Amino acid sequence: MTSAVIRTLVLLHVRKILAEKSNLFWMFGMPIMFTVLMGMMFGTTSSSGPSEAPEVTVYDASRSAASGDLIASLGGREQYRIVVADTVGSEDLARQLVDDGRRTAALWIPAAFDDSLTAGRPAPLRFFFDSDRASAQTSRTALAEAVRRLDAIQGGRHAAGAGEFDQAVFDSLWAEPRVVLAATTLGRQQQEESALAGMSSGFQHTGPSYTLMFVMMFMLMSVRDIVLERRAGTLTRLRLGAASSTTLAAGLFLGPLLVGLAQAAVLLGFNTLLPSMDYGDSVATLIVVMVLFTGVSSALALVAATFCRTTGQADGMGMTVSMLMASLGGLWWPLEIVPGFMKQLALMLPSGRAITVFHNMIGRGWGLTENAPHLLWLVGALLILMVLARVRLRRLIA
Amino acid sequence: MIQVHELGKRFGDVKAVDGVSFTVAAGEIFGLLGPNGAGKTTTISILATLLPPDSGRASVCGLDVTTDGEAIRRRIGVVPQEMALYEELTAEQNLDVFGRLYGLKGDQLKRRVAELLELSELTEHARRPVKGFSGGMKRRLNIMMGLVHAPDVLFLDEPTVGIDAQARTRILDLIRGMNEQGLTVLYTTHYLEEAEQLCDRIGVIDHGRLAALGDKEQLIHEIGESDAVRLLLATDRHADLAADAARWPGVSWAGFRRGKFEIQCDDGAPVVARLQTWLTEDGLELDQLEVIRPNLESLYLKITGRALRE
Repeated sequence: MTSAVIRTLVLLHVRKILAEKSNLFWMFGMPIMFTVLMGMMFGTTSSSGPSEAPEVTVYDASRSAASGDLIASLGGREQYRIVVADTVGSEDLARQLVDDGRRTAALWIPAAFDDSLTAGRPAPLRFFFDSDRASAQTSRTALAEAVRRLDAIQGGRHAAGAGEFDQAVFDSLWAEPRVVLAATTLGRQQQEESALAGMSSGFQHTGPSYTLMFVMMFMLMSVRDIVLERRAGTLTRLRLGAASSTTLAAGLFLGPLLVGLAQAAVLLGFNTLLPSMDYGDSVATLIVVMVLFTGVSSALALVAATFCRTTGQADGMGMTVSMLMASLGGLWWPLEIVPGFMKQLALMLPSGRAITVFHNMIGRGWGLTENAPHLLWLVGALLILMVLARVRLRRLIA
Repeated sequence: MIQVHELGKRFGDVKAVDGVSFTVAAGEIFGLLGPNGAGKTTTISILATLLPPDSGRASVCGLDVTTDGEAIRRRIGVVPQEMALYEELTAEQNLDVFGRLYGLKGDQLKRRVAELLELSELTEHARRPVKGFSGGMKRRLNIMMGLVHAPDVLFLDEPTVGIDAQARTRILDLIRGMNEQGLTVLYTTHYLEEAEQLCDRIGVIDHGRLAALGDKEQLIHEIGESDAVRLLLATDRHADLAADAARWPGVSWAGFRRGKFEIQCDDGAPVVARLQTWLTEDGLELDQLEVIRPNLESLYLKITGRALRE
């Protein structure tokens, strides 16, 4: 009986949303418009032709056959242009040139590069880039991939002998590359570990961030619906029909949660059509973060509704909470570009945690384990809000 | 079917319900009469298990309101004062959702929804959003929502507020029809004429206390008010009529009161017959005639010292 009541409450929520056709625009049309327009404003590499690709200046201290092969194989890509410096220079010089803004990106090949490879030791490359230029971040990602691929292919060929290829060696080197590109972010941010450094397109931020924002906003706007239900007496009617106040609370929580997840699925699916959009390899992380964030938003809306007596209060509450969560939580602009204390503040909000997980997935390829602190924070927030919603709602409708 | 004994409920310093006792038999329409804020809605809320009482006892269908809430809620229907409908949904969807909440499904649910739409004469509007309905249509649907699970007892809390006379008549007919099918009804209103037309027994509630209880005739008899025959003669022979009428059996007084000639009597019918004879004998004609019987208005006025709508 309880499950039937909860199913009915979910059905009721869906029917109410579908009854108002304009809801579909606010749920899907508006977020898609924002994602595309704001993504274009943040910048995208795919629209920039080869002539706009950033220049990567290579300083080859090795001057060996191996480094020559490396430089040759890095060419011919649209994400960057390789320019080999006439001077050998030094690592410090390469860094200084980027830091001063005289170069967008610099790759420094150490003198011991060839020796390291021959001896089977890790051969580090140093890459410096100006993170203020989103396109430079693209070149960093592409360069890292190219180096890794080159290393694995060469390793496979070398191990198998002329004309042959050793797949096992290739796989091993792909998993644990010998040549490591140690990237250093320079310029205004000086954030070596920034997830943003691994992101190559504005859509990679606006896609997930506007999905999160509109899912949360649509739910918080529904605070008004619950207030209207109280005032109209339909909440009392639901209370009379539902088996208990707990069942009623569960139904009022799950209805928006499922609609929110459907909204998120459509928006995240649309995002994959955008240039450079890739959520990483961990589908589980994607699902977990969306379920947790949507759950937190639904519980938050329920709690907020119990504090509002009028629709005016509900509108004010919904709008204020949405705007604060979106702006302070890094949904309008990446948290990687805000001062440290603002980042700390953002991590006290579910929106800040969720977008950080997305950036980690997209920019760093992180999965459940690496994102565990953020996901556990969201679990905690969800549990607290659900208990609060249950207590408040019970007091309201008992 | 409903038993209420010394029921009490406070909100802060305000005694919303103060020692109210009454019973409602199965198949009866019981009217709880009183002005806004008298305690009617609070009483219904306690009986519907939406509010716990602070003192006293109450049972519905033999079940205690404080311990058997869930079982009671399955056997009662509540029609709140507010239009408790989802305006964006159709009439059919509203009934369907609440039918499902009470465990109806499949053909049983479809049949019940169709029955209620027919009963409320809303079948042809079944698939229209409720927001386009007139006040009367919404009120009828509001009542049907309380009946979707075929309850034994229906609590109606001022179900005719804000609608025109024609729509009100349809709703009263509807309630009467449902009662004839065996439904027990507890009906609160501050419209005296509704209580007079509809209710078998009446309780008058004021300031949380039950001021009077009984059937309508009994209550009126208890207040000791008499009939009054008001008239106006075409020719001014009122002084002669007053002198003669004062001697007629059952007449206690005759004369002008508040600008109208009035004969106060135990029963208006024989006095009107006698008046007819008196007019014929003297060849006189009447301009106006009305018989005023004591009603709930006079009862309420007598009990509370003020008119109900004050």
